[in-house]
Amino acid sequence: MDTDVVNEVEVWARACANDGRAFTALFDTHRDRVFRHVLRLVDNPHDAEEVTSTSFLELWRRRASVVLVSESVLPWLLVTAGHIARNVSRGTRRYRALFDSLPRAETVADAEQIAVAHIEEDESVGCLKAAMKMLKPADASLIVLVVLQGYAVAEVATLLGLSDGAARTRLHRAKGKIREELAEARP
Amino acid sequence: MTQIDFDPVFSAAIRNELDARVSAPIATVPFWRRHLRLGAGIFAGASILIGGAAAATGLLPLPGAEEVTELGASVIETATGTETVQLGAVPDGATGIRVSLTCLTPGLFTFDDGAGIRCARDDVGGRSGGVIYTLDLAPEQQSVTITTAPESSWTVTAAYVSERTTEWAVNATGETYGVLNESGQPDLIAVVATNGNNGYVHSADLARVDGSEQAATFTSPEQALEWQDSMAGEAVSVPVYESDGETRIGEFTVQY
Repeated sequence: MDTDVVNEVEVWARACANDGRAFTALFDTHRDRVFRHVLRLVDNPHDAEEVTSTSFLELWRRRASVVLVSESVLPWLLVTAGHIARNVSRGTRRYRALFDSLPRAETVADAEQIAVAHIEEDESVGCLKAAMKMLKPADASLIVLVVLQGYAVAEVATLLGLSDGAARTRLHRAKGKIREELAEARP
Repeated sequence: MTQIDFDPVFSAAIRNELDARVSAPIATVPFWRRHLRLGAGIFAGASILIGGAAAATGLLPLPGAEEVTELGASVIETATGTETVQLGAVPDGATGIRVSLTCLTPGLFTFDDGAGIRCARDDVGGRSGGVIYTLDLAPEQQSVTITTAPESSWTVTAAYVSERTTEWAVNATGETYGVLNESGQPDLIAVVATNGNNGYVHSADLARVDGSEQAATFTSPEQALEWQDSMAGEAVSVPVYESDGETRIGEFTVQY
């Protein structure tokens, strides 16, 4: 999708061979994309940070079964983060003690900033967020990766364990459901 | 749109945690603990598998052992946070720096080459709360830097050493014998039998009982732990021979 993705297969291979710098490079590259994605799904930035962090910790823990799409780990991270975001407390439980022991910035995550963000969001993605929650996890992942992130259906199907045809059908149906949701929500 | 950013402090902490989990396996708690568990199993039952370090004391001049000679006095230093320990001029013949690190608080402590040890609260003060490690000497290197968080405390004893791995010996039937070392394992591996006799076990016998045959089939740490749990409490013995590989002088027991 962009140029720094070209070498990611190599970076991933190095990370899997216990190269910490390679793995943290992946974190540096994809942290914000995953974080922005999760912000759309959870209620506050604090949760979004923990869901994002969990998806990277899981990337390492489950490295043996990670599927690269378009030679990148980003789709796997987005899908995993999406699953975790559906039930934040359950999804992050494995790392609860770790997260609680880590330092955070002193600044109390400015309530005003969050409020403003929520108001602005209400108009644009609020309805979409609600519509997405209605979908089954695999369908939500399809929408995220294909519609929002621009990956090809065939690539994403492998990651989600679907056949190409099944992925296309489900995507079509999911799009329809969202359209209905949005139509109903409109005044 | 108002931008909400990832908390930079939390992000840095997560980044460090990822680095520690991914980097050199000896830096992670799970591996260290697993290693100890397996080690503890092997050493139980008064059977001792002789490694380079045990032989290096000079008490057991066995073939294949690493001869480690300390060159000059040890430097002992206690510090909190990242600190460099100066060792002075490099003596002739030094090939490495032997560092014994003890964690005084929980934390991740990393050596110059990226290897390190993570101590949890339970490890501090226990035998898993420290590590002895030999760093290869880099050109011009006259110090050891321990990298850790500002609040983590440690004590280090460091000295220049020269290391040389001796050759395995060969018996009349052409089998190599001696201690395990970085070139692998000889045909006959030095052990102390349950009756106290020094002798050798056939490497194939040992592989069958010490888990290495099974380990080769494991695809995940979970599988290894499962296997260890299934073996808990079991004891398996193999015969111990003289260096000829035929004269039986005792038994070696692997206690799980």
